[in-house]
Amino acid sequence: MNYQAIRAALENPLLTAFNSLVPAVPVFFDNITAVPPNTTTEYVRINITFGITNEPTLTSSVDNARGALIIRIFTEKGRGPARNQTLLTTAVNVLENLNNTAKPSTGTFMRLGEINGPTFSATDEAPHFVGRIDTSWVATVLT
Amino acid sequence: MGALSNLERDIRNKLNKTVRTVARNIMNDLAEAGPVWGGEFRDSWEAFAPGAGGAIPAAYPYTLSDIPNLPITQREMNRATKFIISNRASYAAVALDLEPPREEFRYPGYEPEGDVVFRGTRPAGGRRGNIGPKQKGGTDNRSTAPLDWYTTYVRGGKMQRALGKGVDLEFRA
Repeated sequence: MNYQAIRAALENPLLTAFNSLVPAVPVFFDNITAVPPNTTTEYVRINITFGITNEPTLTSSVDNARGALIIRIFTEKGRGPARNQTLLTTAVNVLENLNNTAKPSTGTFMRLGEINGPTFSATDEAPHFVGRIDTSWVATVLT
Repeated sequence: MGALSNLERDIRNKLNKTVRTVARNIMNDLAEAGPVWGGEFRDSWEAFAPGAGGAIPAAYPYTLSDIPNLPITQREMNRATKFIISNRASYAAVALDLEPPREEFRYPGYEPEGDVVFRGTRPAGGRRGNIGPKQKGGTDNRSTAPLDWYTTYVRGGKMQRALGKGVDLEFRA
């Protein structure tokens, strides 16, 4: 199983989509803490988690990895949900495009489950309004 | 309810026990995967049975006696939702990483019972499990479960696997 290939298959299209916006919106992935605390700058946080790596069968093991994808959009608090929802739409479009991609002969083949959310939250302390969606994924790396 | 044959009654009881076993397994999985500082959150999982009208207060490790018995009437056998598993802790949504904490976490004066998986600084307003490297002058936070552990369990295949194991254990025995 190639975990990095699976991660890249999810991260790259999302990164490209947010980088293509004008102005580009910074995206931070797992184990990156470049976000300065208390900033009012909008940004996107993407967490990819792995739940199961394979599915044993009677005779062998199928390398179908499964996991969750959690996307959080941080926008300025107190200015309504519009900007946050616009950025969420960017993410959802990427996820739906991933599901519409034909199965390749090599590389990573991935399918996503239903998208939960968005849910929104904000606290007194943080300067951001946060929109969150999550979905499940199943992927296999074809040789 | 018309008279049930012994076979029908056995099958319905077996089905109910299977569902209860699955619920117990999922509660134990969630207790083991989730954060544990003093143990209150871990000990607050419960299975509410709409058909039985309640839940049984229990604590980890959960056993079959912590899961309500289900009626074997036809109406209840047809019920789609047998159990609703939830956590009764007031801060459950924060512990599940679904909501940010309403106030900063305070050190309770004792060390966590669970293993610390991340230690460092949590940004202001950050989720429970959102802990990065220690910042100069920043807070010293600890987390006993990775960020999004709950979503990973529910959406990442482990809950589905627990369901299969419960059926294997009870119904094929």
